[in-house]
Amino acid sequence: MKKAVLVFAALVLLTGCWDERQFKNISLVLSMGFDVGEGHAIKQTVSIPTVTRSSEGPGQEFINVLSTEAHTPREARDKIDMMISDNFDPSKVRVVVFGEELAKEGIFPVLDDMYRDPKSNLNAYMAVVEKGTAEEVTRLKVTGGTRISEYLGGMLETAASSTHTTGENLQLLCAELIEPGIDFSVPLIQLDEQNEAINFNGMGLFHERTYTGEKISAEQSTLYMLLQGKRGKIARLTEKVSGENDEITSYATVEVNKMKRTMKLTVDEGVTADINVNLQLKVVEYPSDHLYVKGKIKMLEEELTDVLTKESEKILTTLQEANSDVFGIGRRVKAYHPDYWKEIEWSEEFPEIEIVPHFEVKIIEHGIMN
Amino acid sequence: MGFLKRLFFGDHKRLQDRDLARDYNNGRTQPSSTKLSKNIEYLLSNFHKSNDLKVRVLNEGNAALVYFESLAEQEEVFEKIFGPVEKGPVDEISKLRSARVTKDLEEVISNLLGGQAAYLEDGSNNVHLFDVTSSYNRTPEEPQNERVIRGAHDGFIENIMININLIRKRIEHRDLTVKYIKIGKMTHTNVAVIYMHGIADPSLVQEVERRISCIETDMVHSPGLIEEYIEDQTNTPFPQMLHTERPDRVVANLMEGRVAIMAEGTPTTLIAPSTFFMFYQASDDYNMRWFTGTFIRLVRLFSFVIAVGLPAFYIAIVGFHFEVIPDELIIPVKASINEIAYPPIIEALVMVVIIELIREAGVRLPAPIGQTIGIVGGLVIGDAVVRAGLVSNLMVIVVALTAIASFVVPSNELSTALRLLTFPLIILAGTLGFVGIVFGMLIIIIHLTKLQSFGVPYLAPVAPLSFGDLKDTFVRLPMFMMKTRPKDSHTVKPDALNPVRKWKLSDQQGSKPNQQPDGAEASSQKQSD
Amino acid sequence: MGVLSVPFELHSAARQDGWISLLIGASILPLILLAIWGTVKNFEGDSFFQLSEKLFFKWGGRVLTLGYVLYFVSVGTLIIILYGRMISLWVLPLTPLWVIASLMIAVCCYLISGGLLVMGRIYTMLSVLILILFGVIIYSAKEMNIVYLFPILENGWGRVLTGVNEALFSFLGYIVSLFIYSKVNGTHKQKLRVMLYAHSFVFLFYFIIVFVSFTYFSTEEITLVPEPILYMLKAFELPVIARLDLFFISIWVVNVATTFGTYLYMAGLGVSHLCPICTKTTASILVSVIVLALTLYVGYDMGKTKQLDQIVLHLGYVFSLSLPLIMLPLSYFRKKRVKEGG
Repeated sequence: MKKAVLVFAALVLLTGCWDERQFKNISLVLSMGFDVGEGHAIKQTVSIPTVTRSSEGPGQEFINVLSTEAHTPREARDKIDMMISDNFDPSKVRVVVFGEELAKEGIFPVLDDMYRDPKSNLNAYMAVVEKGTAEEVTRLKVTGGTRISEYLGGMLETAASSTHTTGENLQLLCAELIEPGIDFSVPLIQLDEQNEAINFNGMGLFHERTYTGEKISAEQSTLYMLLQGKRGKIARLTEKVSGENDEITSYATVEVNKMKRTMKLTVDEGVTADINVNLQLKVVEYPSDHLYVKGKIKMLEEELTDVLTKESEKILTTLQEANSDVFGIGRRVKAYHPDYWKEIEWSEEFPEIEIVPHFEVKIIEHGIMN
Repeated sequence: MGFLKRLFFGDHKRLQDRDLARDYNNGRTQPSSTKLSKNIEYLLSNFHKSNDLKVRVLNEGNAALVYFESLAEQEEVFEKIFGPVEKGPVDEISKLRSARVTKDLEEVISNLLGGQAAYLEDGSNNVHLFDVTSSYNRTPEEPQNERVIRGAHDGFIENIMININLIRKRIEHRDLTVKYIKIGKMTHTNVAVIYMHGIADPSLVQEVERRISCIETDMVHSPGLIEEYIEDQTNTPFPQMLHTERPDRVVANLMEGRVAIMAEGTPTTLIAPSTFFMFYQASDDYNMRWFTGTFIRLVRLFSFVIAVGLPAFYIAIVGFHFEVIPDELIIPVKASINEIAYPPIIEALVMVVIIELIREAGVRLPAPIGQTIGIVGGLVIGDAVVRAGLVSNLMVIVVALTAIASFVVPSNELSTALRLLTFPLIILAGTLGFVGIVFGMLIIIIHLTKLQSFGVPYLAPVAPLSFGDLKDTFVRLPMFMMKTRPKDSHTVKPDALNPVRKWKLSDQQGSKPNQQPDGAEASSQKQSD
Repeated sequence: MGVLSVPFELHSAARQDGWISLLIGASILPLILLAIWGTVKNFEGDSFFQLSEKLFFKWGGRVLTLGYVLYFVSVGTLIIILYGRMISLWVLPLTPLWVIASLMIAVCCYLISGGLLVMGRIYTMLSVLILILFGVIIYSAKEMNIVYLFPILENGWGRVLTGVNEALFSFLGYIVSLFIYSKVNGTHKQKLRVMLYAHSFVFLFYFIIVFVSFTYFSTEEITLVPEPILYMLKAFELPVIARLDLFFISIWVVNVATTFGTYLYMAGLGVSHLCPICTKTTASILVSVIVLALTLYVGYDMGKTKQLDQIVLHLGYVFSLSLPLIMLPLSYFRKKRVKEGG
């Protein structure tokens, strides 16, 4: 009996480590870019950092950027695997970048490999390159030697915390990709060749699985996020308020301290969606001062309400033009008015529906100065 | 008058001398003869004419004083036997009152071995025994391996009588019971079973005595042997009896209803039954504020997880699941292991063995050289091995942390067990990654749950769960909350203390504002020892 | 055990109304528990095997015991296969099945070798791990989206009822109480209370899991992910560790061990009752060898697994649902006869 146990243990433990993937034998791919290929369907670009050891402190870092064309991302992965000495491993990918053209063709087929692989990192960010290719972005050598993955990842993270993007990772996007009645938007980036940098350029609107080409600009994106009911750590709005002609004094910058956003649907004949946004603001910049004057705050509040409503209307028009239902109005119609949902074709209906923003603004703080 | 008093009020029974510590003639008797030469002959032949047996002929050959030169104190011989005869009113040794009289030569033999001197006379079969034992004892210093910062600084020594004395001094109560058992056919080692009558479970005491008396061996020279003879399960790395050299610890355990086993010639006391968590309790915990005590206790228990699992965890990550490393750390980790020649499992095994080598070398060598070994081993080898690229610096950190964590355990036996358990887990992790670790941990937990120490589950009070007893397991609650003794010792008397902070209650009622708070605190302190 | 697959199965049966099915299933179940309790209460102190021999006469009882042994063996095999598949999908794709399976079976043999008392202690201790799972799941609840639960009853009651079927089978473990009832100390009332508590705890756990995964994943997406909880945790990253799914599945392995250990124990009990020369140890080793052989025969073959799943489902109807309900009136009847005869 004892011998049998021993033999068994030896068998299990000595026959090998089937699944061992030694970390040192792996080429970490930290960012990936996908474009439309010339001959094949896609062109994949990856950046692989290699770090050499030094006796003290971090060693030198070389970044290897490789591109290949293939029919599918998996095939491209295998091709790249042939080009490098170690094993290609995308399980720590931080950013996935799409070229504008490919994004317009549809992103789901490309991401399928990511979604299917148990080892893939679904916590990665996604971005679309406006007027450019993913390859250019991936190949960019950032001054200061930061890795492109770190640079882009950090940038998108800050954008999320300052309420410019939703900060959704691949996993959260997947729900909106697949579900009918909900669309989504993805951060747009643009290469700034002069500064050797990358700009955040707003949010690209998607309809179902493709990029529409329409976007919400970077200036509007904070308000756009607030309309979605999303707020990062800081949400700062700069709006032109008072009628004075003096350029700089006519602007006010406010920070959102607290917000509440609700959406109400009314379905008769057509769909009406009322978006109520309740904001409690803190004034952080208001060069014309005089907030102590009675009624001045009230005035500012009213002006802000006006401006915000107008801007929101613009945003909503863009959304409807792009036919991108990022608020998930369709899913709500399906959830609460299933009969109506069955009658209509949502993608035809959405541009026609009425979306009305209502703002309620309250200034509760104005810094340490009046 | 005294005679009349005895005649009327006495019970007329002759009391026997009670000296159980020295009673090891195995029931053999040999009546002494009236002939002196015959008696001496018998003694000499039984000791195989051993040269240190001294026979002093007195009274012109009509009497003899026999004793072991090596065991008896010359001064005592003079003081107790010759002194009184020369100076005092007694003119014959046989009339000395301090003598014990026997007519059994076997008893004489055993008493001679105990360091007594025997006085024999021609024409009388009475043998007079005098206690002239010499003993060389060190002072009861604090044991090196169980130091505390605050609290009692004495420790057991190699003399069982002094050890029991240290305990009796702490428990001045009639219920403290000591039972002697002789084991070892040749060595006749005196083993004492000590318990509190009325607190300890009688069936437990009986079981301990039964197991000890079942030992049939020529020699018992260390508590480790006794432990192996009487423990429930020998095929396990885990010690099932607590070893301690601290009187305060023994006393605290006696008061919880456990049994202490002591042996002549060793300062180590065994405590049964012991549970896993007892090995993580240190006397210091009770001398600290309970916040700090709890914190330290938690750190110590956490060290169990580190000591057993950290190298395995690291290997599983580096060999199987590196996607677990967070984004910011991934490049530094990769950089540190990129150019190491060996697979992580070899690295780990080598480093763990090296640490063991350094430790063992440090223990065996005399103290000043031992320190040098520590420095050479730890600093020089550690640094060189990393520079040479044989082992990654992360692995050095992991293994060093593991070693430190294993030394945190207050008990040396358990600490060794933990370090031993690291190896199978390393191998499992190197074969199956996290799944291997889970199975390894599962086996360890099942094993621990199945273990018993004198009928008490080893993992008590966690499995079986006894919620009340967790008060002194993961945490150390304030003393006044430890109202009951732990259930795992099956104590007969569960209440350990009445409210010790009664003064506060009466304070609140406003009846006696001038009561002394110190008294209550002091009594709670006493309980904690 | 069902933690990983229950949400998906409920969803494929009843779509987004799966949680209603779970609620209904959970409220039906106490009836069966009461039936079991009523049956065993009528035969004070008898083990299940003695009881079945009293109910169905000697040979009937033996056949029934054999049936239960076969049932447990097939459930055990299914557990091992599902576990092996899950491990190979998520953690160790290249490790052969025999290694994963035999390791689990060996550990479970060791687990049950200590008898019921030790098993009980280990289970109590390991239930702490369930709290960790709870914590992880509740942490992930921050991305909930209630809209995904609507529209309620989109597909009508028919689908909800098929879901009830699935839900009932996620609670299959209750059959244990039939076997170990006589081996546990306590009054009947206490035991019933414990049974009901255990049931409600399991229900609560499943409910939270189903709820979280239904609201995290969109209605369409969940049809694509068979193990929603793992898939959800895959994307979470804490500052210290990423990829919580790997930790979750590791803890889940422990749950599999306890579940399989219980079935192995019960099958071993049955075998040792049927064949008097077998001790409990040899019986459970025999059972584990059979389970291992069956597991390796079925392997990762989807078709065969499906067949086995169907077999277990049908056996489950007989042994877990119908028989307790049949035995209850029978036990009252028999008890009366015994009394009159005596």
